[in-house]
Amino acid sequence: MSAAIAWPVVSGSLILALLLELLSPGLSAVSVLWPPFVSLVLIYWCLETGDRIEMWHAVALGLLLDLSRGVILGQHALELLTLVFILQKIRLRVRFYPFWQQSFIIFLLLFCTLQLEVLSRYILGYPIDHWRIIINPLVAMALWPWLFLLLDYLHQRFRQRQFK
Amino acid sequence: MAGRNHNSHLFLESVPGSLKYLGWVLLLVALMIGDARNGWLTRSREILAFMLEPLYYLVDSPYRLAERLDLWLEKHEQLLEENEALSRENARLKLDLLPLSHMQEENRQLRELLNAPPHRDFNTRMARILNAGLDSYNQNLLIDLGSEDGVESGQILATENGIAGQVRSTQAHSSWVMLITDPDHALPVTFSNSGFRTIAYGSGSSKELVLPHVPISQSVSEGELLVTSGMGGLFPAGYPVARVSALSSEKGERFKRITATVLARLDELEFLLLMQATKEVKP
Repeated sequence: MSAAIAWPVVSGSLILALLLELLSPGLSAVSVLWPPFVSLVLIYWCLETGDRIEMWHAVALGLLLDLSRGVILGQHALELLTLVFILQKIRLRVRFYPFWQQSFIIFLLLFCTLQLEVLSRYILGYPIDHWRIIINPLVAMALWPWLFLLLDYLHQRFRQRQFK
Repeated sequence: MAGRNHNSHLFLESVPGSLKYLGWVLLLVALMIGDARNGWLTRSREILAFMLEPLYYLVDSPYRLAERLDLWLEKHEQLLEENEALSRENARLKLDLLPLSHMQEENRQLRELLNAPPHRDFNTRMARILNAGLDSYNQNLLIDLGSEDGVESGQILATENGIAGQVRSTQAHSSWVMLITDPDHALPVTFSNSGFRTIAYGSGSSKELVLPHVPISQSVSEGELLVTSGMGGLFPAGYPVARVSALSSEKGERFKRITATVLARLDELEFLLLMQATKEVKP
């Protein structure tokens, strides 16, 4: 049997990521630089626990994000769903990449999923923020190693406590 | 390790997984279209407000804490100085207002003579901004006053520089504000020089409005002030809104291309003034 999944840590970190993402300074230009915390934390748990993060988790989380941020209903849900779907296919390989390579994969993943946003907004006739599409994945890429180390530390500690 | 028993995924396409994904995608696309057509987002937000409200207050708490700390750390003398400066400014402003109150009374009497309806009076209240529509496309703000504070949808928000927006929906302790720069917002305005009335639409950027309905023949100068016209009855007349920042007219087109810079600095806001109409004075 596989090790028990640390649900308290998973859900706790995801909720914290949601709050962090909501902290973004609104309409000012800095908001373009605000990292996509929820996507990053979800990516980490996908890599670590694989199929235990199911698609409906991503959808639920995305809808909550849509509601609280006030964008089109389903936009974040679609992005997170696609992230989870792709990661389930490639996670066994990506897990053992070095940090810089992982960061690059994450840049590509986020850039591709943001294209979904561009496409849907274009079709539905909403305006598009071009800077965000480029800058957001870059910020995420820079943040990834640090976030990975932090989450890994928490995850390991939780596990050690469980096995004692 | 979790997932070791699912190794087959590395080599085998899991058909059910892809089908599940496709199903979810179709569902979400339907949701997005439904939202774009029928505004499901705003409605579900109103329904789920009880759940989201504490979330916003929680998110706001670090900002509040930082502000408190800032206040503590600020030196006593500095505060005293600031206090003195503010009270001096207050006295000066009061002096400026003295002739105004006389003029207001005169104006009221003249309006009475003309049988014109009276101007609306407003109570202003400070509203703190809890959250901004984080998406820079939707120009929304959440303020910390709600229906229990007497906020109603349609009430106006302004800054000391000019009109900022209107209340779109209310919850018990917070309300959503649609800024005048929201692409869905239309604001009746008047050009201060010519008196020409038109409508200013939000551009989606927090600095600009667009005015697409000004005919080529109309003379407009750069830097001209736009004030609310009072048409439509929602916004009171005569409040400054924006200044014309760019105008061009191309041959063969019937309308000028005009953009105007919003006077209220909407991207640096911390507080807004909520204008609540008091009971109208009977003539």
